[in-house]
Amino acid sequence: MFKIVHKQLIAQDIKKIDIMAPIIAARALPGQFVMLTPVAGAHNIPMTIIDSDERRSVVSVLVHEVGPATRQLGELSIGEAVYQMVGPLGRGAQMDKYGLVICVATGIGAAQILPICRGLKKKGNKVIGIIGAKSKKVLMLESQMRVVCDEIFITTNDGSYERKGLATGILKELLEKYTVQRVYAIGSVEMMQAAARMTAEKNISLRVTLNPYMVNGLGMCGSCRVKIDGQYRLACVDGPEFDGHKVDFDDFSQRMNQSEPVQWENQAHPISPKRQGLGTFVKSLWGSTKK
Amino acid sequence: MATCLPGCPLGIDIPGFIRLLREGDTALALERIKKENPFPAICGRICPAPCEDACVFKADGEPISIRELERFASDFGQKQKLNGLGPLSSRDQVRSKKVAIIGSGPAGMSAAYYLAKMNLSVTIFEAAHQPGGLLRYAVPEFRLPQRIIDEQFTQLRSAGVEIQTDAVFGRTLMIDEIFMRGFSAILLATGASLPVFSELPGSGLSGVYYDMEFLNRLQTLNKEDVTAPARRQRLPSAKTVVVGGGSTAFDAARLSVRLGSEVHVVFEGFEEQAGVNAEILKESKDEGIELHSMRALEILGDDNGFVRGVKCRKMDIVEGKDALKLELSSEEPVVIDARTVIIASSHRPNDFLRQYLPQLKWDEDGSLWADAQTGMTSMDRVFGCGNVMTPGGSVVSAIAGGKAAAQKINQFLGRS
Repeated sequence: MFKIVHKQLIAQDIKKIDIMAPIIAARALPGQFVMLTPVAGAHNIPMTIIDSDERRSVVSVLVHEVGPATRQLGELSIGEAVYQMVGPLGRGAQMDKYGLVICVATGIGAAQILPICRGLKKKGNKVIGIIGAKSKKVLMLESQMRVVCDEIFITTNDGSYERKGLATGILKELLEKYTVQRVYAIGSVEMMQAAARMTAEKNISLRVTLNPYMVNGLGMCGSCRVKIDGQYRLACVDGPEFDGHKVDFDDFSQRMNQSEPVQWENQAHPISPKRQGLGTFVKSLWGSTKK
Repeated sequence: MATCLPGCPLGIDIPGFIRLLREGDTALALERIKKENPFPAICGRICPAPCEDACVFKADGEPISIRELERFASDFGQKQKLNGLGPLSSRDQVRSKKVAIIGSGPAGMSAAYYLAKMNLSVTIFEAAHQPGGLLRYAVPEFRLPQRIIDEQFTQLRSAGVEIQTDAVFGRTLMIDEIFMRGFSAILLATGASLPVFSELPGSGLSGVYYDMEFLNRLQTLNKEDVTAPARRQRLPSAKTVVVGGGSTAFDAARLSVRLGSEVHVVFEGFEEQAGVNAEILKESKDEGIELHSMRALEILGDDNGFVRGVKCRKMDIVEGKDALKLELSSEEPVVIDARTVIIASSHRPNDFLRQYLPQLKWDEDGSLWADAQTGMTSMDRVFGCGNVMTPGGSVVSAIAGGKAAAQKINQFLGRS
């Protein structure tokens, strides 16, 4: 079960992995995700289903190797199986024929926006895509996005490819130029917050996909709570897509802050550099200078 | 007169099994317990033991340790390989009707056992990868070892119960699909573990966790890994405050102590009013947990939005009309230092069932409605049991709920 049938490096530290999962492939809607555990005992990783092929019984996910669990997943080779994959979870993205739609994504958000663009296109919308990346090295899914979008804009923060600047800059220009019916934004908190401000001015509806820390994705624990319209909702059950104008971004960025490496001196266990390797040692030094 | 009997929701013949134990016939005592409780290994460890509160000897001081005796009997049975689930009808026998159980927590387990015993073909559908529900994902290893849970499921399987994991009801497993596959009834034992989010000021700060979130994060990891990833997420930090006095509060507190944290439990009320029995209270204190009778007023944060402490106000003991009671003191509030705060509030079912099956009727307190007579919810052939119907129930009441639901389903299937 859940055998890896294909694996491809598509940008720096980013791999696309195709996994055999007939039931999930048959049921997945754009915007839904799976909870994936690479090996027994590892963390569960929530991952957006970027593509699902019912005939081949395959779902594709994009893994950005940043932590131990994602690295373990990236290390599995073709033919091996992941330990566990539960899904499809969450509600699918809101999708209908609206007219002109802009989809803006930054960073790993590009993986999440792709199935939404595809779905919107299928519904008969005109789709403009905007992808923002740090540099050309980490830009991903460009060709796939070119296929599904009617028009596409790419920005890089360092100017190493296409336009230099922020994705929100292009969004602003486009909102001035066209009458847009709807905007979908996925990416960093600042970007989504900026998109919320711009669209609120023009009274355009905005959908954002939030990626809070998630434990098992089944609505058991409340880890992925996000404040929507003054009330906590669960991203795993009620989301991950929400109305961008109702999201309390201050609360959200506070919650996203939780896994930042800060204040090592407050650890319950003293970190022993010997056992933890060089990376942790450097981090702990960095932590002690941060005081 | 044995006063403990009405104390047990399962109606175990407590004086009977104790007498057998005293006479030295442990095997028979175990059999006596199993007549009413299929899972003595679980209850013998984590039951809140309402029977001990009702024990006649409690007035004279110490009640009889009924729970420990139950555990002794089950441990004995395990050594002697007597822990089978008792005489179930043979698997080859044609089981005409099929029942689907959604959720494999204590309620689902008990319902599955009794339904199988009534000669029905039972399948448990579990969303997670391993069965056990909260037993596995919230009860810490030191209270209930995972191998005990595994054992119960091995026994359920050998009793003919089919267990299908990774099946998310409403996402990969649709309700009409279940009926199409020939199931005559569905039992919702989906539980209620979602924390009721707190109104406490500052509960949005980083470093504030809810009990289930905390337990779940640590429980989903391998035992060897439990400290390593916890470190990475600073879970828990060197100083922890637990707000609340339920059983999950003490589980979280005791787990934090084991992970090297200094723990304070802030609980508004007398110690006796805590949601755990005197034994756990004593053990917690022995482990170095400090219990304060205070009301948490506010969680304080630092400039980075991280928790730095909890502001509390003391409770004073005053004489009420007929008993002592606690009242908010007029003293200045005190601040307890903490880098991790765990809020142990009450729990409720999550909204997924409401979204997926809007036809289901719910009570005002957020629990699933079911007809008291037939046990059926507002949907035809759909039943409910366990904490989804009575949020906040203990493990023993969930087992009792599963047992009652099994009887009602049997009645319904016999009728129709």
